Amino acid sequence: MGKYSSYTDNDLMQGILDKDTHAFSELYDRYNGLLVNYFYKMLWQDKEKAQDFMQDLFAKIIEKPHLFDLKRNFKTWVFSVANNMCKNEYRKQSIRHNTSYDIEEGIQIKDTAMDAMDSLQDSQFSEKLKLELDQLDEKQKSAFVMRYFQELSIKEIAETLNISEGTVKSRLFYTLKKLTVSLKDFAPQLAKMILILLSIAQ
Amino acid sequence: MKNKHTHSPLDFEQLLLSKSYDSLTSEELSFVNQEIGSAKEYEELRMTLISVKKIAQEENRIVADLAIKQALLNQMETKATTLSLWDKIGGFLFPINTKMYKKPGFQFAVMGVLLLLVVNIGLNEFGSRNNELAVNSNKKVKSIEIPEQKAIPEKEKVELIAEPLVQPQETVVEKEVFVEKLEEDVQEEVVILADEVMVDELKDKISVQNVTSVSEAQSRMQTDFYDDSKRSSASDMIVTNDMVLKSKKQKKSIQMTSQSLADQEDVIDLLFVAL
Repeated sequence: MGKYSSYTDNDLMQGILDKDTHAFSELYDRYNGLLVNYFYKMLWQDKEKAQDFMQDLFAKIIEKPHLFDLKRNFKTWVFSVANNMCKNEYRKQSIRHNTSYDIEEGIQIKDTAMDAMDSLQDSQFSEKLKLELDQLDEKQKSAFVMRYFQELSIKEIAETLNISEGTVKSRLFYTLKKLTVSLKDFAPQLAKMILILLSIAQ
Repeated sequence: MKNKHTHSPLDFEQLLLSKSYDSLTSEELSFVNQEIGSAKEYEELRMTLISVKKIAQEENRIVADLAIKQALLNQMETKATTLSLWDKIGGFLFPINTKMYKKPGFQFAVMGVLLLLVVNIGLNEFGSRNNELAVNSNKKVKSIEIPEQKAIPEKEKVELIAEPLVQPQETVVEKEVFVEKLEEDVQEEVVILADEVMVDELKDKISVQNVTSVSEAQSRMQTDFYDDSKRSSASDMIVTNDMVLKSKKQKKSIQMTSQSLADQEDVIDLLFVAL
């Protein structure tokens, strides 16, 4: 197993094409955490759903490894597949939302009321952020999650989403602006704390 | 313009994360004012971005269940062991732990090559015999043809070559000429005979005189027949008509083209009536 850790992603994919189980195991270890968290962020923080989607993705890699072009970057390819899976799920959910609009609307009203009550607590910033992320457009959300939660580079995001780097930067900027408006009651307090801690450390 | 070269409007992230609004240079400040607007907005953006990054770093990441990995590995092993048809064939032909000459694939290949050689040699042998036969047959044909060609004189050869081209045309012309001659002869004969009979024997009885053509004679005879004064000379007319009929038959037997069938029928009817 040791020798596989030195292999590149594409070498491992070649191994999977040759039906090498160890190569698959190594690739899974490298990407399962990233992908399950990506799905978790993208799919409404549903852990079960995130795991199912991650499993489906790896099952696809097992069944159809030839779909991957060995000249491509595996990381961007696998994230583009994951992103497409999320898009499909959004479509399914939007159909469900349309059919049960009243129920969803009721839940939303309840959430905002609850958020107003919890607005003074900095610890709930992340929860609020999650909610706000879920409110974002799919394109903005995917770029933002990839950049700040999966720590993909601008170039990698551009390749994954098949858009230019400029478009990625633009999306990130406008997403941040949008989040700033909705999180301004929370962020400054947390950010101030962070800045104070940083200044103390320096 | 200078600002746009040093700071792209899209490269805000690094600036927000590294510098507060107060520490911005004049160049950066102009860019921020252009893209973001105010110091307050810049600071809000900065706080949000820092908070998001901090949350993302500190957030408890979920870990996938180990059962998922095991299930996927089982799937992978099943996939690896489930060989496709080609893999099975390949495995049968070229087993891994056997010597090269013992591999069925290699043995089949050798047999195939040998078979190909044998067949090829056999075909070559057969082909060479066929060539010989072909040469012999050609020789025989030549030996037969050459003496015949030599026997014919050169002048005759020229005639033989020329004849097939000219002959068919000549025969057609000859036939046409012959038919025309016959037609003329018959017509002349009819006219002569009719004139002689009419002049010598029926001069005063019937008005069929100076008949120059068969149709004219027929028409005249028909009119005379219905005329009572001239009907008495019917027996004489028969002679004339017989002669005309004779000439007509001759003509018909020779050519059958100068008169229409309608005319012939008319004449026959006339003759029957006359009889």
